Formats: sequence, structure tokens, C-alpha cells
Amino acid sequence: MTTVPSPIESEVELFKTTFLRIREELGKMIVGQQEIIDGVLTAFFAGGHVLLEGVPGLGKTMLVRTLAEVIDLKFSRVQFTPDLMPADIVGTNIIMEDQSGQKEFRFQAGPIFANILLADEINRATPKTQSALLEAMQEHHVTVGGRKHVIEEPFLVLATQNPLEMEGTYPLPEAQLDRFFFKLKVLYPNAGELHSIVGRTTSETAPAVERIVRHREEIIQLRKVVRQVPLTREVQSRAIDIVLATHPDTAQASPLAKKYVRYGASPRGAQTLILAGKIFALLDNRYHVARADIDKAALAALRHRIILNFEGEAEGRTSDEIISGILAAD
Amino acid sequence: MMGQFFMERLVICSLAFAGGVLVVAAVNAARGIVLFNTGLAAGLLLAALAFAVAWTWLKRPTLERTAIYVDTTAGTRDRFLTAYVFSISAMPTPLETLAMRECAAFIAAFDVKACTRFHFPRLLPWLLVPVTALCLFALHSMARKSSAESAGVNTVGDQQKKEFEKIAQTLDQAKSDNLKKIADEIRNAEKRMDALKPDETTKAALQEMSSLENMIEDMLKSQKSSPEELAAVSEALKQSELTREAASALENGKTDEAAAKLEKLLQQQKENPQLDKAGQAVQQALAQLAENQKGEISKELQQSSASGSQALQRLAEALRKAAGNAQQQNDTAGSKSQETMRNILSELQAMKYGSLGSQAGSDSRQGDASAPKMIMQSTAPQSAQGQSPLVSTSVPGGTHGEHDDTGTTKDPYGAPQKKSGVAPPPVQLNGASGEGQSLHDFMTAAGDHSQSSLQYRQLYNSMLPAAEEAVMQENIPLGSRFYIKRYFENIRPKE
Repeated sequence: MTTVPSPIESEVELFKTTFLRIREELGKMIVGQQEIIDGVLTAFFAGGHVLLEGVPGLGKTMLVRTLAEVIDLKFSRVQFTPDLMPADIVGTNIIMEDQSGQKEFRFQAGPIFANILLADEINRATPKTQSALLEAMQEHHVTVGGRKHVIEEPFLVLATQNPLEMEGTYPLPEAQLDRFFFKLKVLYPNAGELHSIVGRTTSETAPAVERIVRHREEIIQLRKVVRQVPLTREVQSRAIDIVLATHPDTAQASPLAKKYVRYGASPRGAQTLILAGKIFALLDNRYHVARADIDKAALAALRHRIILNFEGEAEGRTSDEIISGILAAD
Repeated sequence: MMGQFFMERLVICSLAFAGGVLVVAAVNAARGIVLFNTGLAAGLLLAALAFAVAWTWLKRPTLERTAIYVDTTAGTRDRFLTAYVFSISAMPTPLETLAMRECAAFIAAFDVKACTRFHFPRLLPWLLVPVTALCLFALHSMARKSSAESAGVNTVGDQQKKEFEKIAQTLDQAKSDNLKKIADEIRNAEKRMDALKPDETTKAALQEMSSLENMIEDMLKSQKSSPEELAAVSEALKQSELTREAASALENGKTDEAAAKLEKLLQQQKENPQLDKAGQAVQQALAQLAENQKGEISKELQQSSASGSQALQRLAEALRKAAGNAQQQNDTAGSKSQETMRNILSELQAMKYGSLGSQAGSDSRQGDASAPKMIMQSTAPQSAQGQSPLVSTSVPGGTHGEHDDTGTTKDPYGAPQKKSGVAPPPVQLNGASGEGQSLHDFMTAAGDHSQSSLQYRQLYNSMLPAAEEAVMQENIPLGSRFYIKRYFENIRPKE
């Protein structure tokens, strides 16, 4: 005798299947980088944006482009350069003449009006242009000429950036960094992975990927399932404690944070930890969030939200060290 | 699980109590008080046990805390906690119900006993530290106790006071004024020591012994004139024809006769004042003698320098007195008095250096652990024999070598430092001039070894807040911020 699964059980099962299938398809194009793929998908299903950091040539753009293909959503790409203007991204009002000869301003939507926006090398644009993304990323709409233009859901910004040490880059402002759900560091592939990459990209036929999601409503529904995953107050406290421990002026501050941190993580950090924890729990075949899920999300969720002070930067400390110290202390 | 909590708290309580006892024991050991016994140890263990029981009972965990504990130790991904929390929820959501079901299935298959098995508290090994320290203190205390019992006295100060009393009682029976004076001084010293705290007695005893030594040495010196001194006086008297007879009498050991001859000469001087000129040569020689010699006669001579006749007068009186002293030394009573004083002196020295030798008969104190300490605290001058054997063997000494130490400066306070803010000497740069025209100009610049009036670290730390503030301002292009920060990182003083 088999038990009939409840509707919510079916939805959870659908989420897991979809997630795993997308991961599998991405794996066809991207060799290794499993943590990066999981991170991008987690942020996507949680409704957040992702900042990918790594040196050129590690497959960041390829990952995002493949994701757009697999999900079958409207995809646009903006290559950020120093002379890129905000209007080049959000769009602008232009004068149009209708059939009767009357002229009027009409909004010409920019590339931001897509489901997946690839902001390639975002730190090469000036801060003014970078800031053009602020409203869209948080509110999912843009305001041009006093009129609000809503961006269609789901909306995901995947930004790539080169490490700050490279020439000709403009660091992202703190306010914008905080709007990214995860910051993922793309590491250099090992020898075995390099063999696979070279083999795949230099052969006659390129691997083809299958479309897993054909309607954007499916994604919206799966996002709702994720948000229903329950958690206890103790687990929620864990997320809050971690965030508070990054603030040097609080009683819960860790010794490393007190010494090396200028500003700690914002409340968005705690939200990110909880949402990411919910997805990790579902992927682990659980229906509840555990403290371990929160800990697992901490590095990617908080590393870009912690601003080190002069002493921290001078001694070569990283926000990853601060977070690891906090996690190890408990 | 309660047993586990109890054990952990018992260890913490034991550590706290042992730490407290350790502090008390250390203080007692420093004060020389016996600190450890079995009853105290048993009492402490019982107290720790009682505290642990009370603590465990008062802070007994709730079901939620128990669930968290099991989840943490067993790594069950918060399933116990989730199952408990959602089970008491009034209106569980569909996913909460699913979560409960999943947790229940997991817990049913989970061996709880395996992960809640008793394990030794993490802090347990730390108990070894206070226990070891207490054992060492106990051993030290026992050794000290047995040593004190064998000596029959409690402290070094008490020992000195007993010896003082013994000497004073002996001296009370003597007839000599000097000995009575010494006895009075010893009694006064005892009274002064009684007024002091117990820990100050030892040091005070040493100081009192030193002053008594000085007093007795002075008494012994004042009772005789040395043969060297008499020879020097004789040599001085030979300077004049008139006093040669007195000089030859002095050389023959007839001090009394020499004094009589000088008195006779003085009589003649009164009748014939021209003879006073002849005595002036003698007076100069005697003045020199008074400066060089430290004896009784020299003291007398130092008090008179008006004229030759007066000097001769004083010398005659001094010789009479010296003759009288010599006579007294030959008496049995005077001889005994001096011998007693010498004995007291040697006894005092023996007491001071921690060894009475063969005379006092207190062999039990030989090798006393406090002896080296007493030597180090002694401020007394060297003994009458020139130096104390104990000082020469026990106290590290040595003389400076002829060569410089390696790695050190001749100045014991280190090489002189240039003070900050002092302008360095001007530096002139040399160069060869060519054949063509040249233009000379003076450039003011920092010379070699120039120093700032402010330390770099101090300057950097004072500028750091301003720099941080400036970098955070909006009017600095964001792209430039990083380079500004990097610049300040690079000029940061090294730790």
C-alpha cells in the first residue's frame, strides 16, 4: 500500500527535482565549480542576486549564460565599461512620432528589463552607473522621468567582477554590495578539471543543454515553497547571533570583529542566512532548517557585508577569516 | 544526561575551590604558616560536591535545552529540537507537520543512547594542576614543620631574641662597667625587637647585632694603644734633642718613664721660654702622627694643636693614660672583661652568620636554611679579623676583568642616545666640478641621520582617524578610495 503524497509534499519534491536537474544541466557546460553552481541556484530560488568574483577566464559568464538557457527566461547581458551610462542600462525616454504626426516621449526599456541580467565585469563601470542597479535590484522596478517601470518576475542579477587589486576597477559601494544575496568566489580549476575544460571546448561539437523550466510561473511557485520551510526560534537565533557577532560595537561581537571590523553585516545578512538555510534543508531531504544550514550559508552570505577597518586591511585579514572565527567560537 | 551535567559542574566547582585554596596556600606558604591537612581537603571536596549538586538541581535543563544538547552532541541536525518545538505548536503548518514526521522517523531509527553515553568532562585534566600544586605545597609545609620542630623554635627572630637574653643574663653578673653597658644595650635591643612585627624581627635582629658588634669593637680599641702607635710617637719625639730621652724610654717599653721625662721637660719650658722653639719640631711630627694613626694617643693629640708646649702636655697625659691602661690589662679583672667582650663579639658574629661555632654549643642550628638569607640581609661591616669566612665563601663576588664585555657598552646605562628634535650636524656632499660653467645653489634638505621630533607611530596613530574619515567621505571617487587605503596600509608602522 502506497501513501499518496500531500500537495505540499509534491511541491517540495518538485523543487528538489527541478533544482537537481538544473544543476545537472549546468554541470554539462561548467566543469567543477559545484559550490558556485549550487550558490547561484540557491540565490535564484531564494529571489536574490549573486556577485561572482574571480579572475577572467574561469567560466563566470558561461555559467550565467547557460543558466538562462536552461531556465528559458529572458536573458540580457551588459558589458560594463568605464563610459557606460545609467541610461544604457535602465533605458531612457525618447521622442517618437505617431501616425498622426504627433510627437511624444516614449520609454525605451534598457537591458535591465529581463529575467536574468548578466552584469559582466560590473566593477569596471563608474560608481554612478553601478548605482543605477540599486533600485532595480531591491525593488524590482526602475523610475525614469518620474514614471515607475516594473521589471518582470523572476528577476535575477548575476554580476561578475575581477578582484579589486586589478587595474581600472571601481569597487562596488557598500549599499550595492548589501543587495547581493551571495558573493561567490570562483576559484581556479585543478589539473583534472582543466583537462575536462580543454577537452570540451576544443572538440568539434559543443555540449547541448536541455531546457528544464519553460514557464516563469514555475519558478515563482517554487520560490513560494522555499519560503514555507519552517524553522525553530533557536535556529533563527543562530542566524541573528552570527550577524550580531560581526558588529564590533555589540556585546556579542567576536574578538576578531572587535579588532578588525569597521561595519558588520546588515539585517539583510540575517534574512539571507535564513532563506539560504531553507533551501539547504530541502536539498538535504529535510523539511526544517537546522543550525548547520545557517552555518553553511554564512560565508557566501556575509563576506561582502563585512567592511574591514584599516587595521584589518593592513594586516591582510579577510572577512572570511572573521566569519570562520565566529562560527568556530560556538 | 543529568549525570553528565552533574559531572561537568562538579569538575568546575572543584576547580574553583581548588583554585581558591591554592591562592590561600600560596599566601600562607609565603608567610610561613602551616597550610594543609587531610580534614581541610575532605571538607573542600564535600563543599564542591554540595555546590555541584545544588547547581545541577537549580539549573536543571528544560526539555528544549535537553533537545539542543542531544542535537549538538549527536549531530542530528536539530531534529530533536524541531520535533519538540513543532509538537507543542497549536496550529502546525503542513510543512511543520511534514518536518515533525520526518524528525520522528529519524529519531525512531536513531540510537540515542550511543550519543548520550557518559564521557569525561573536558575540564577534568585541568584538575591535575591545582591538585599537583597543593601536593607540592603540602610536602613543602611538612618539610618546614619538621625542620622547625627539630630546632625547637618557630622563627629566626625568636631564636635571636633567646640568644640575646642568654648573653644579657651572663653579663649581669659581671663587675665591669663596659660589660654592664653591653648588657643594658642588649636589653634595649630586645625591647626594640619586641615592638616590631614578626616578619620584621629577623632583619631587626641582624641590625641590632651589627650595632652591638660596632660598640664592642670600639670599647676594645679604646682600651689599648697599639705598639705601632707607640713606635710612631717615639719616632716623633726623636725630632728634637730635648725629647730624645723620652723617646728612648718609650722604645724600651717604659711608657710611664717617658711621660715623666716629658713632664719634666715641660717644667723646664716654663722656666725658660726659649726652649719652646725646640719643641715646635716635635709638635709638627706629632701633628702628622695624629693624622696617620687611629689609636688612643693619636685621638688625644688631635684635640690639641695650639702650640708645641700644649702638644707635649697632651702627649704626656696620653702616655700616662696608656701606661695606666697597660697596667689595668695586666690585672686579672680587666683581662677577663676583655676576654668576655671578645667572646660576646665572636658569638654575635656566629649568630649573625648562622653558625655559632664550637663555643656556644648550639650545633642544631648549623646548616640552618635561613643562614644564607641572613648573610644577604646583613649590613654590618667586616669582623675584627678582617673578613668573615662565611662572607668570603657564601656571597658571590669577583673583580672586574681587564677586557670589555662582548655585546655591551662601557657605559652601564647603555650607549648615549640622540634626543629627538635635536638638529643633526650639517652634512656637506662632495663632488668634482667639470670644466664648463657651473651654477651653485644651496638646497635645504634633511641630512643624514636626521630625526623627527615626533615618533612615527605616534604621528601615524594621530593621523589615522582623520584619514579614515576622509576616505569615507562621498566626495572622494569610489574608484580612488581603494588606492588611498592601500597607500595608508603601506605606510603603516610595523608592529
